[in-house]
Amino acid sequence: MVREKLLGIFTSMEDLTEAIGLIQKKGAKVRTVYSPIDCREILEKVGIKKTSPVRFATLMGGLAGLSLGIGFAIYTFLEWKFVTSGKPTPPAVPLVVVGFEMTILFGFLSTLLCMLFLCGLPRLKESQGYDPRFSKDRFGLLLECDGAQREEIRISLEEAGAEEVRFLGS
Amino acid sequence: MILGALSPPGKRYWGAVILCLFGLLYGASCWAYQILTGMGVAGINHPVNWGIYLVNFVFWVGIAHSGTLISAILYLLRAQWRTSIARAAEAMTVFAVMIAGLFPFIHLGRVWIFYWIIPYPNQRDLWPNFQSPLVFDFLAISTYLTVSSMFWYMGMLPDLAALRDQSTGLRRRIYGIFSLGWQGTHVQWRHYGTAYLLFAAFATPLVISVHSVVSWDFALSIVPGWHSTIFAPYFVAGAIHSGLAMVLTLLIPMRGLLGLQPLISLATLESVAKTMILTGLIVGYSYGVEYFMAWYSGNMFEWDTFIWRAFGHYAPQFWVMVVCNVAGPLLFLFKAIRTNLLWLFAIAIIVNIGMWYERFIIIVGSMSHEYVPHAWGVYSPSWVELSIMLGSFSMFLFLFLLFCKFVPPVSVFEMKEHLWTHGKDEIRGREW
Amino acid sequence: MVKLLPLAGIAWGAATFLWGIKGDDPSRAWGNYLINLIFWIGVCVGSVTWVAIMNMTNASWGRPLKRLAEAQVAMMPFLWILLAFLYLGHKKLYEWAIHPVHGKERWLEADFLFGRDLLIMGAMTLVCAFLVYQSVRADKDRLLGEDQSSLGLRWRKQIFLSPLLGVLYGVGMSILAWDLIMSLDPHWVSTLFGGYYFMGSLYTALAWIGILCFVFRRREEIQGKIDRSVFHDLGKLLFAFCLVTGDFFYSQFLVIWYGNIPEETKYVILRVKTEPWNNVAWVVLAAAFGIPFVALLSRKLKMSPPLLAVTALVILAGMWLERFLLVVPSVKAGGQLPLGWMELAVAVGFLSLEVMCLGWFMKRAPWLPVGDPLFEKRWGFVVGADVEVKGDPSGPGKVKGVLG
Repeated sequence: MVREKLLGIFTSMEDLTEAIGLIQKKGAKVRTVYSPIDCREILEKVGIKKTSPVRFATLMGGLAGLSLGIGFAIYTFLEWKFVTSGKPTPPAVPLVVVGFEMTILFGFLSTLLCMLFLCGLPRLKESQGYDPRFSKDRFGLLLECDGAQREEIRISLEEAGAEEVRFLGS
Repeated sequence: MILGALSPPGKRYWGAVILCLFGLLYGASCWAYQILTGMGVAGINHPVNWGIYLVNFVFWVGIAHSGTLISAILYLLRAQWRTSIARAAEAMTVFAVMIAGLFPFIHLGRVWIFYWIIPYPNQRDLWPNFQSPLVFDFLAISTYLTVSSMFWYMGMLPDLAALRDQSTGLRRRIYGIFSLGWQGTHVQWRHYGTAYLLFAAFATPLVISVHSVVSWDFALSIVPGWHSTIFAPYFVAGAIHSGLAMVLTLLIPMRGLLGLQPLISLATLESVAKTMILTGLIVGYSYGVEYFMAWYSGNMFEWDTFIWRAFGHYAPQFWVMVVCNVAGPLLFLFKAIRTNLLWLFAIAIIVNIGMWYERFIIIVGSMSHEYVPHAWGVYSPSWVELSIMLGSFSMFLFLFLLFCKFVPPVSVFEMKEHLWTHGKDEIRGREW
Repeated sequence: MVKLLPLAGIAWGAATFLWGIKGDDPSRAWGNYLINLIFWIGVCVGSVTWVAIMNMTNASWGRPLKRLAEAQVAMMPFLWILLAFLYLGHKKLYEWAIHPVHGKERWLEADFLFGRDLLIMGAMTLVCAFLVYQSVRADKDRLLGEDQSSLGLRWRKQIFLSPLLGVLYGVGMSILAWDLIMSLDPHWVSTLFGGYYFMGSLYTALAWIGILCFVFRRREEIQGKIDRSVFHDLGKLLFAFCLVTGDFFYSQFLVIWYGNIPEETKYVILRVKTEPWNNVAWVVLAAAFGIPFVALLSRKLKMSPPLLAVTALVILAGMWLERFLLVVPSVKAGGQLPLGWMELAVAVGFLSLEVMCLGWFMKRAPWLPVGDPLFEKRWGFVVGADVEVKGDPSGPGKVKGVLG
């Protein structure tokens, strides 16, 4: 069975979500949805319910920053005891600030790197089916279906309000 | 309209840019002069060792905070009025932090050994003292610079992608590189949306901690007028106060000159003004509390310093500070004033001046009048210091002008989302 | 039977307190009294101030809990009386009453001090009362079918009173904190003390509101409007205030630790390093800051009403102990930790008073703020079961509404 790829271009989000529902009923699979704005409804329709795993990177990064920051500072105090104003070495109170800043720095950077990785950025090649209008005011639905169904799916897309439907081969 | 703001600029724009560039180069050459000749060309001496370089440092860090407040904190609070001004405010933050970060270098006589503050294993067998507020400063400011520039940049990704798709040739390549190949797939939006929320959640405590750390540069000493527990919230509120004033100062001309009035509404500017009433009251409260506690504590040095601030050598600057910072924003209680562009701009300038003088009074005022009468002395900034200060303002304007023309000054995709969720299907066909 | 419980609690607390002041350690009893007084002044005025803050920021998420937050105004007149009553015991608490402090004799002088504090508390009570009156009156008018213009006028009055309360809260609570708490050690000064007190009180008040939301969320009159999303927002705000209060605490601690000036460190060392107070200090740190910080990071916890209520309870206990730690070491320098039946009884007494006042108030006011334009914008005019409008001067009539 030959799998074919179709691209539907829509001008409104309601049409897009309607189309997703229609083609899912017909058994086609959504590959990618292109959109100029962030929309939770699209994710729900496509079937992604959980929040992004980026949060774990945040937690790990934050904890790493906390331990690195405080650990490093304590190490420097133990290595060369810089005794000032009779304060204890290592001092607990000021290290809260050091730990705090490092938690934020590392947490932020790890979130950033994880996000870029999960998004597949930086992306060097344009992916199949991308239309420059998708960053302006069009929505795109790239789906995959059986070769036999292509006309049926095309009709469904147009029913849902697609401005244009393209066949992209397999 | 927003992308139209990026259209090839006219002569007046380039004239302004060149003017700022000259100011910047003048300031830079004065700095070079100072490095070659020595710190003696600056007015700082005993007893005032921290002069307007540090005043400018605190001033610029303070200005930076409002940008993050608007883009991160208001995002978390779901305040709608933030959307149109967030991008420009973040840009203001990034440039202000860059300039603020320069001033410790400028203040440092032997600039070439600045790297000694970086903790790395060295042949001196020394580590920086992590107990020192100056090291906290180094960590906090570098974290803030990294986080705010990345936050600003990440916020722009979808818009840079839009610019890439709508331009050709060299511009297309440049925007293409900077947009990292963003395509707006649902997978990308999913991770981006969560990550942005987390960025905002990180930026919020960072804002508060950075200016608290800067305030602790002073509060952790035992100088009368500096050793005060209220400094952390006082400085944070003051920072937001001056930053909001700078936001008004920049945005009112920007929206006029770039034709962005429909997007940056008067209601948004009014919200900024109302927030300034709050921050102005907090700053006024802090002034009052400091005076009361100086008397209540029975500490004669503290009390004397505060009396001297109001009636001594720097009395004019003190009263400018009080009137501009507290009385000025109270005018915003009147709707007629806070909805009038001219009044908004004027009071914003007044608050900027007042807040600069506040840092001056705190830093210079306390150092000139410490414990021992024989060690009292007066400080005046020299022409070198003033020139470098002029250079810093020019650099800020220079960077901001470039920003306005090469990067979307309003967050396009956020505005689209905003309109879409409010049921207006106006994105299609609208010229962005 | 259940209605008599608060009265029993008040009676127990009062009796124990009176027995305490007649005994051999009246300072302990008065100290106990002061802790609860400042704790509940903080919760009550803070609670109504939250309403003012939400009005000023146009927060529509918090509309369903507006009435529960406003209900704390009912305890304020009693707190005013209790504050006046404190005058009788001030010599047992305040060193400056027996040995006037040089340089501060006129400021720390009993008549002047209590005069200004009662004035402040009175002003706060009145402004809160006006604010709540406008709010309740607007809802009652709405239920009676009043027109939009009078509702609009009531809303504008609330918008006018809200910033007024905000300013009065900031300044007034600061002065109360300096006079009642900071003066327990008249040689110690912290410029942030007033701010710490009023921010910590906002934090405590929010936790109290959280508990009220949990207890009453399934009540018929609330009509399920206090749902998981309200708890989520409440949890986020609680997390933010946990950080703010912790930051204010740390700002004072770091500056005093660093400067190492004996006049300042004496106060802190007593509470953090000496027996028996240092153990309490660690408990406060964990309960008021540590546990809530970690717990409120979790989204699941914030959206679960029972778990959020438990966290709020921990916060309340922690902040009560924090007030204990501020007051008692100055009253009784060392020895055994004075935390026993007397403390429990007086605390229960004050709590029972608040429960009684809450019950009295909620019987007389609509549970949902139907006359509030932000509420109406989001939920429309809420229609409930047919109920009589109690206390309606135009005579009883069947009106569709949400009165309890």
